Amino acid sequence: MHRTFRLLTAVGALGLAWPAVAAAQTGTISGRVIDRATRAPIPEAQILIVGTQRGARTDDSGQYRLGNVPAGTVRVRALRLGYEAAVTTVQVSAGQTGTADFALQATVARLDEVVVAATGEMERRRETGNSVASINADSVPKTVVNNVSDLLSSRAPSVVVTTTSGTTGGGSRVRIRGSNSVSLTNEPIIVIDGVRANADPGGTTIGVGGQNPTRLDDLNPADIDNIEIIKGPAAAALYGTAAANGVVQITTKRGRAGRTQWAVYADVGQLSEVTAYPANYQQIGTTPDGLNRVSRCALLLQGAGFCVPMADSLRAYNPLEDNSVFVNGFREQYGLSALGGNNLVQYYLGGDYNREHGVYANNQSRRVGLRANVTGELAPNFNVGVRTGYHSHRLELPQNDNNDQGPLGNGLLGRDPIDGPNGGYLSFPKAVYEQILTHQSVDRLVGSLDARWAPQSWLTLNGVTGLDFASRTDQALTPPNLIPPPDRRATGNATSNPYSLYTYTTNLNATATYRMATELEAATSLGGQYVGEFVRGTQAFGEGVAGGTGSVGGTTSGFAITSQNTEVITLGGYLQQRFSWRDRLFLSAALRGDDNSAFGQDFKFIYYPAVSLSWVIGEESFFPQSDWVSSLRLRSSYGQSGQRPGFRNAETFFTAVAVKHEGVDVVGAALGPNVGNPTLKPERSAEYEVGLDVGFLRDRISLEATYYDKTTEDALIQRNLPPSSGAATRFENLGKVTNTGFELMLNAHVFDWQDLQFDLAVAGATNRNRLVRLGAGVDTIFFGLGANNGDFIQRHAEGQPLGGYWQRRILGYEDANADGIIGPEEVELDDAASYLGQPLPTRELSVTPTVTFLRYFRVSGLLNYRGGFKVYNSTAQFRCAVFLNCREANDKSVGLAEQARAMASARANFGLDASDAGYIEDGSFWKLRELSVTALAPRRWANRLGVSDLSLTLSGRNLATWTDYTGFDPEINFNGTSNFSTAEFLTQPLVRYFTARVNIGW
Amino acid sequence: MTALMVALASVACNPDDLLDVEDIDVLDPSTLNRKEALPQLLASTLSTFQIAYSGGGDLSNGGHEGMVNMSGLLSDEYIHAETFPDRQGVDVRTITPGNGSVKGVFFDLSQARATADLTSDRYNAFDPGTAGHSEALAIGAFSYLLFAENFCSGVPFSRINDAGVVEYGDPQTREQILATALAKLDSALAFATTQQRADLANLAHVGRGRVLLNLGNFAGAAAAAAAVPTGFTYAIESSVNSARQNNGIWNYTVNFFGFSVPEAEGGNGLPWQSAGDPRVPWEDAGAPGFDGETPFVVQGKYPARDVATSLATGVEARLIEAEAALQAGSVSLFLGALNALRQPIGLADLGDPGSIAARENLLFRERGFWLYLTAHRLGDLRRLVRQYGRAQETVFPAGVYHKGGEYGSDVNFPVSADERNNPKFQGCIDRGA
Repeated sequence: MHRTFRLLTAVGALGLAWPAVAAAQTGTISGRVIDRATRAPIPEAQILIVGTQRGARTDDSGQYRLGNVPAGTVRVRALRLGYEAAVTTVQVSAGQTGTADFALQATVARLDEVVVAATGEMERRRETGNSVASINADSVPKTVVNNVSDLLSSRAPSVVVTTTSGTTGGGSRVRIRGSNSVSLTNEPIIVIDGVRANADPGGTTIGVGGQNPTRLDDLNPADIDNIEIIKGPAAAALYGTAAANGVVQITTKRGRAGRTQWAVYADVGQLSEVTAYPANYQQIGTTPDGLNRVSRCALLLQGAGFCVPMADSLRAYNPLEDNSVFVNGFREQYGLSALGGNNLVQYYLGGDYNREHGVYANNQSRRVGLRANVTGELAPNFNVGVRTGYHSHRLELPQNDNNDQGPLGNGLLGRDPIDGPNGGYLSFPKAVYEQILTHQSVDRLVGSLDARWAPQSWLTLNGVTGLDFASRTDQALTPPNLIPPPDRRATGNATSNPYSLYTYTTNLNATATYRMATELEAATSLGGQYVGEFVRGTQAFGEGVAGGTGSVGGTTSGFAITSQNTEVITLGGYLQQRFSWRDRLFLSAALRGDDNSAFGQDFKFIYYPAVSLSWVIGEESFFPQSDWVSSLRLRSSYGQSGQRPGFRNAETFFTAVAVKHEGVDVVGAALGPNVGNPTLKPERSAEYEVGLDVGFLRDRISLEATYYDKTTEDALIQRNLPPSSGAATRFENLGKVTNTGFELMLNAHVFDWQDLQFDLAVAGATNRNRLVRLGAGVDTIFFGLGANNGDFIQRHAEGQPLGGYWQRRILGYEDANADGIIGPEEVELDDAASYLGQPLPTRELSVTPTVTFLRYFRVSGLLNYRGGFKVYNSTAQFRCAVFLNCREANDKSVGLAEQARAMASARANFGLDASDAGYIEDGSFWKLRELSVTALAPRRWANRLGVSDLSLTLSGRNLATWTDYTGFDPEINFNGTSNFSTAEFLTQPLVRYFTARVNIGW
Repeated sequence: MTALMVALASVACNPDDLLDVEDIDVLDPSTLNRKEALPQLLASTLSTFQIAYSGGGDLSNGGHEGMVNMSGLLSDEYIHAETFPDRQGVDVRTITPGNGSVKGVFFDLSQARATADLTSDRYNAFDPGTAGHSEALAIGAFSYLLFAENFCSGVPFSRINDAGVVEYGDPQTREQILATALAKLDSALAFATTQQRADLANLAHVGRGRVLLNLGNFAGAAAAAAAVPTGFTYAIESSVNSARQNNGIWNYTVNFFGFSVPEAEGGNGLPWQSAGDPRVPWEDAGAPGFDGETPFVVQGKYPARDVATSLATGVEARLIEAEAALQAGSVSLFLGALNALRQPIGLADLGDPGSIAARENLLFRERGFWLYLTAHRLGDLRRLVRQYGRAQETVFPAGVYHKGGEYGSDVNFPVSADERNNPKFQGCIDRGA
């Protein structure tokens, strides 16, 4: 491995040191790019010299200028998203300027859309054999997205973003082409302008019951130009040991030559709690002998002969409706940006303020963002860019989910206020909840410096180095005298956890292009990468808070202090060879090698190969020309990628623990939770995909279809060790996981009449996930919410999807004694638990119609379907089978089926086997996620106001859900962004947004 | 550019430099493999044993309930007054190997046992025969003893060797486990005697007496306990210093209304409330437990988070002698021993109840009150079945459960389901008393 690194770095250094031999005979190419139909200039079009990486961009008047071009006949290509590519030939004379103008034809086909390759170079879609999803941020009305997660959600096939609650500032799970890993994260990596970014989905150190922010959502969607999603190892091999779950590549906005263009927006809106919460029921009874009052004489207790209900004693009370903790939420957002520049320097400057108040008094988020991106041409063959983004995020999160301090749980588990002092809430009156404070303060800087140097017309060197730094402080305060004694919290407590998170990236790449034959071009790339991820944190906790202070320094007892310092470094290098035949057939092969500080000491190096083939067969002369099928590309690719073990996963270690001995607190050491493994290596995921891109009806309709098959070998299993060893787990490379599926992306310009245009985008995907092998001697892994004497609800079991739900099936029920109550013996359960379904969707379909009418009005929506999955409705189970306060647990009129599922769960109380199978429900749903209406002011109106663009957008989010699921929302999860653990358990459902936004440009 | 070249050349020469990372938060095992680390290892033994015995105040690893709480829940010392179904399964005596709380306490006790064994090994290597060696051996012995008293027969004892490899243990019968405990206590006693550490010698004496009692060697048990002064106490200490060090009994009864003091639980339980006995102080909380339903009675023996929990006492030594006297047929000695303990705290003398069975009941009632919430009661109920021929439905809580349904028939804890990762383990050998 060391020899390989020496070779790679030495060659890289050699490339950088290559003497810049100035081309003695060069000229200039300039021109203009316009829309063929409207004759309007096209800004931001890319102009490339065919066969090289040399290029330029058009300014806002469609003009471009490309200097230092070797004299001779030069082929120039113009590319722009939404247009067909065009190529022309221009004769360049030494010291002269040649002209190459383009009139581009609009299209929905995306064959020539430019994406950013792992090498840092630009490439057209047609050049790669894999599918890359692309989201043009400006195409999504900003009023309907609150954060980057919303921007990603339901817009690209196989990119499943799940918003885990309606908590303002809560996070999202992101899964691309299923889950690969049993024990490591399944989240993709995030790259911002070439720099690896922290996207920790569990981005807090203070638990509020389940929800947590994710660092991805620190970013301001308004700063984003484009998001490309590299879905898996077939495309991500060159990203190395981290990219097995895919790569989300974010490109922020950049300036362009031309006058300064200002844009300002203001956005206000409201958040509404729209869930109809159920009432809490209570039946009063007596013991069978009539001597003692039973305040909770539910049906199953009646059925078991434990109590006798008193006449007319059924009561219902709904604290969440009648003594509500909810407040009206609101959102406001303001932003200002400017972009412009000249042919030498371009800039984008932006700033925004975003405040959102959730539906709880102690739930709000404030974000401030500043961005400055400057790109420049230091020499005709040397470009540099500096991109910086500052993000400030102040967040207050409420308690909820699996948490005795959560208002939702206390409301849903409460009882009639007649029987309790808390106004219908279980443990504390409603005034308590909003006084428990959890703050997160994040100041984050993501910056990069990139450079591109073309010392020779055939050689391009590019590199980027950057840092994502976040200073994060998590704080919590429970004031004294809020929670009554003898509870430990009665004296109050305070937490302060300051963290510094650093991610450093340096990428270097050299690409040489050359022509091997008249119609055969080749490119060779050699590169290296350094990624360092460092965490420095301290956690401090104290009890006994002095009145009036919220500081840990004001606490008097129960101190707990710990620190967290982790360091993980990846070093990688790669070699890639590409061939292009007649710009129709593209073949590439690549090899990347990585070493990582988290590998076991006996494992040193891993290689990831990749190969890709793309054939634009529709441009072959033998392909029949037809308006019906106007373009066709066939593609296939294979690649491998990996995922490193976590920090310390390979090590055996002891942690310091204190103990009081002979009256003095002394320090000992306890074996850490994990026993080391010196041979630990990364998971290796291999994937192949095949697909085709078809254009129909003169490319008015484009269809991309892909099949993928992904296998993760050496899957890291955090296997349970026999507890009798005194050790809990060890990471071992044992498992095998597969994911297969189909993807479909349809874009259609359905019709384009003078006053009415209709565009439609449809994205669909399937996923079949299987745990093929857990490993010899490894017992099934149980996890999730515990229920029924340790029969945990979820399992990693061989032959079934990861994290599947397992319980004993309910075979039947019968009211044998005809008392209208299902008793413990009147429910029949299967003898053993069986697989009931998986917690993550296996099918997704998104429909995005856009209608433009009368030129100035645009209506767009996003209708999303997810299906093929189950949800554990633990809220209902807990209410009906444990707290016995749901209606079906108390009211005979509800029906026997509902009683049966509650009794099946509660049978453990009667010494019988129990099952929560009745609460594992089909989670399939359709959601109208977004709907917006935009009114564009006619230009003359805008001009009268002294501006060039003026628009008003009204929009709504989370507008409707259609589902058979009986819980609050099949999408939410009590355990936030956890890897697999999934259930609805006293979780805040999604809230509805209505917003209005004014955009002004000049 | 020159600097970049130099940096690249440096990396090319030695890329491992770039991969060097620091880990300052944890201890490398090698740092504990030396004589200077022995006090730290002994503290490790005590810390892990505290978690396993009296529990802790943090909620990691399933809750750190500890053996005192869990055995109290399965016996008649507690009733369940919260909502966690796994702990309710323990209270209602229907416990599967997958029970999450059992998994937690089995792991905690295994970790305590493994840590004690490791510490003993290190003392043996670097400083044998010292007081620390004695204490580590004794704590290890009590870990084995708690396995024998509270778990089914067939507990395996695996270990992680110095190379980090798991050496899988064979399941041991209760008698084998007790024999191991006895051997460790013999060594602990020898070292303590040599070092003239009376406290550690008494710890070993009481431990030996308890082991021998479990083996049915009543005379031997009495002989072992004879030298222990009545005022002796060896306690597992708790502290306000950190949540982990909080007394877990306090945590689950005072801080959190989880386990309530019952009154004659399941018909067979002792009348902890109505007895009005100062050895089992309690207080009506005036509110239901966490389940919102069960009237909550707070134990008063551990009213604060830093109250220590007795592991071995001179009182227990006298009780062992009383039991041996009863077994030998000496009623006067039996009653004399019991009354000698009662008089200093103002309790009236006990009279002879007249029959053998009634005297046995009296003995175990006295043991119950003296040793309340010290992880003795479950072992005593099992001994009543095993050594005194009682039917288990006459000594364990039985009949209608206070939350509905019926009590099950479990009299001990199964080995955690996670032990299925041990290829030598196929399940409990015997789940009987």
